[in-house]
Formats: sequence, C-alpha cells, structure tokens
Amino acid sequence: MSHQADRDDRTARFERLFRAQYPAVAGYVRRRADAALADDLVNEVFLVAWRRLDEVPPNPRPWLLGVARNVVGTHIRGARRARALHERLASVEVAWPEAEQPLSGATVAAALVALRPKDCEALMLVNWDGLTPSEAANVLGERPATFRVRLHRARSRFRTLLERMTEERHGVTRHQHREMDVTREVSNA
Amino acid sequence: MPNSASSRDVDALMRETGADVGAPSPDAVDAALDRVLAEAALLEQGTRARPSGTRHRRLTLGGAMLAGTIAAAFAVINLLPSSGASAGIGRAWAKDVAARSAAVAAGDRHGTLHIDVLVTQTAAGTAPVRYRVESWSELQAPHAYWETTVSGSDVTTTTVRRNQIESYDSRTNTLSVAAKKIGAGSSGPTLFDPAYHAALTVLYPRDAVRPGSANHLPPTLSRLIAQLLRSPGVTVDRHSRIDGRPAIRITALRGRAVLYVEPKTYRPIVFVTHGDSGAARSITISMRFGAYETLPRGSVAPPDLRQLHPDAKR
Repeated sequence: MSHQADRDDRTARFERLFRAQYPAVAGYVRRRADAALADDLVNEVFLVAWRRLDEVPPNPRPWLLGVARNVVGTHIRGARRARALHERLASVEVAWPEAEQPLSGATVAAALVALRPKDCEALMLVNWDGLTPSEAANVLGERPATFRVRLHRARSRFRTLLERMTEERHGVTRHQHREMDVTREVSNA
Repeated sequence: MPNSASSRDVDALMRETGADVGAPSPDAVDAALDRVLAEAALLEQGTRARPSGTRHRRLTLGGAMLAGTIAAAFAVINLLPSSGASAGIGRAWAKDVAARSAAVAAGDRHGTLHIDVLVTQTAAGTAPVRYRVESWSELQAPHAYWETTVSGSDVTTTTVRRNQIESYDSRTNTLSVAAKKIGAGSSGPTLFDPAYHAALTVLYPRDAVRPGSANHLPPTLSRLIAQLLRSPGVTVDRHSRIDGRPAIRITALRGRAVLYVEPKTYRPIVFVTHGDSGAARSITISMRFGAYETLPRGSVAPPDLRQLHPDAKR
C-alpha cells in the first residue's frame, strides 16, 4: 500500500473512532472541567488518540476515557476540581430517601469532593459516564474485582457524607438525635 | 436521619446530578474533528522537521560559540550589549490563533510598525544585561526605519532613509553618517535592532553572523516572530498567564522560542528565545513589549539627527 493510501486509511479509521466516541469523551470532560477549558481538553484527548491510533483497543471507550482522565487530571487539580464540580452542580436539586427536603447540588458536590479522588471517579464513571464496572476498572487501571470493592466503599462513604452534611445543615447532629431519643425513652418510662 | 439509603439510591442520586450534559450537534462534532485533524497534521510536520539529535547539539553548541562573535560585531556600532542569558520554556496548540498572532506580529503593510521592547539577556554565570529598543519601521516604500537603543546611560539613535544611515551616540556625542547597501529584496534594516540580532544569535547561531545572508532568515524582528509562528510544530496554549494576566502562549522550534500574546488582540506581550549549549552555557533572551502596534501611514517620521544634535562630532 502506498504512503498516501496508508495515510488515507489511518485518517478514515480515526474519523470513525472520533465520530463514535466524541460524545462520550466530550461528556466525560464536560462533567469534570470548566466549560471554558473543555473543548481544548477534548481536543487534546483525541490528539493522543491520533498519535497512538494503533494502540486503541477494540472497545475504545475505556481507553479514551483513561486518556481523558489523565488529560483532565493534568489541567485540573485540587481546588480547581472542586470549583468545577460546584459550578456544575450549582443548580441541581435531588431527592434523597428519608430527607425532608431535596439535597442541594452544593451538598452533593461537597460530598463528592470529600471522597478520595479515585472513589469519586469510580462513582462518576459508573453513574455519569455509563460504564460497566469492568470498563470503569480499565479506566482507573485496576482489576475489576478491586474496582468493585472500591465502588462499594465509595457508595458507602458517599452515603455517610451526604447524611452527615444534611444533618449539619439542619443543625442537628446524629449524636443529638440519639440524645433526644434517649430523653424521650426516659421520660416515657 | 436514618441510614436507610441503599446503593441503588446512591446511584440514582448520582445519575440525577450528572448524567446529562447534552449531546453535541453534528456541526460541533465536524468542527471538533476538523480541528483535531488540522492540529495532528501540524504535529506531524513538526516531527518531520525536527533536526536530528546530533545536528541539534551541533547547532546549539555553535550558538554559544557564535554569540560572542555577534556581540563583538555589534559592539562596533555600539548597539549590542555584550552578553547572553538562561531560563526555561513551554508548549501548547491552535492553528488559527498562531496565524492571527503571526499577522499581528508582522504588522499592517500600510502602516508603520512601532515596537518598544525591553530586552534582558542572561547567560549562566554572568549578570543579566538589559537594554531597551524602540523602533519604527515603515512597512511600505520607502521603508524608512529608525530606532533608539538605551543601554544604561548610553542612548543610540539610528535612522535609515533611502540607503542613508545616520547614527548618533550620546556617550561619545558622535554622529556617524554612512551609505548602506540594501540588497535586492531586502527592504529592512538588516544590520540594526540589537533585539532582533540577539534573538537571531540564539535561534540560528550558524547564520546569525551574516544577518540577511541566509534566504530563510527574515530581516527584522517582527518578520522573524511572524515566521516562527508560521513554522511547523508550533503549539498554542490558550490558557496561559504572564505577569499575572491571561495570555496565549505560542511555542515554536520545540520550545526554543516562546511568544505570549494578548488573548483578544493577539498583540505580542513577551517573546523569549532560549539556546541551550549543553556543556557550554545556555542563553536566554527575554523581550517585554511595551508597545507593539501599527501606526497609520505618515503619522510618524524619522528624526533629523543633524538638526537634533548640531554640536555632535562627526
């Protein structure tokens, strides 16, 4: 095959990959980065894909999101990551079982930021990016079994954090709840 | 609050908060694809244009050696302070930004390009050398050029008009007058502007000793910057900062030339060139532009040095 034909074939392969995966990659980046930066980061992800086209596996999404994770991680860390999450969730309100009022986006963002970065990412990959645990494990570079344990713990920690934050917001701690219950029991006795 | 929420509730909450970011339109996908392919092509050109390691080492080593020669040559006309410099550089992307920045750097053909630049040269183990150059270049015929260089208390003003060079040196109170040979196709003040020659020395050490002699070397600082921005392998970082304010950072020659421009106007703010000579010394030329603008044609004129300095020695 001539050099030009080789090149055309490579470009066609890349274009197919791009068109199929752009929404997923753009979604991944937009959920984690400031809007102003998102397009440039998505572009950078696909430039990596172009350079390493021959390494892209048959199921490219976890691979691409792994690249996207690195690219986003390079540009957005710590406080900036937290700010992006808060901005993204600022207008959100979600129902939460047993809570009297819907949870604010700020509370959800604060709970996510308080998680370990990999735990937070595990929750997002499965719920925001729609990956299976095996695919998400691939993105994080972990074994599926390890990821499942991580996901389970992440859910648990996230739930605990949400509860604590909700209680603090209402000015009533769990300890106070318990004290009130005890007082009630004593007075009823 | 009772701890009754299940894993399913956590997942439902997460999905409710973040799943929907909206699908990109087909036009947006096409535009993004075009951008990636354009930048991929630029990157590939850059890779092909990259000199071999041996050649690169030879060039940089030659740069350090020739820097002294260049400085000595310019000392003759009291224009170039006698030192080089050292520091680091960066990277990034965006073809259209590079093109627009190149257009602004080159200036409007129908005006006079006015550049006011503070130059700092640093070389390992030596004190930095600073000087300021303010220049005006007519970008249309008759291509008059004039500049003022301030180095310490020494002020040198040079005018080039119709092949006539006049230069006044405040240190010696001397006015020199000479005829300048301008070769075919060379309309610029090839032998002047120490800032330009300092950058040339670092970037193209092999050719810098004979400015204008190599066809691929542009004859002025503005055209040198424009050419660098149009060269293969340029990268653009649209979210950089310089001096505490947002800037676009454009990198050429694999990081040896870095230009910061204003995000809205693409006006150059800082231009840094760096030559690393390995075992010898690294040199950095940093230029901060106080002004980089195209003035309307005829709005400024070169000074008459004979009238300004009637008592100067000749």
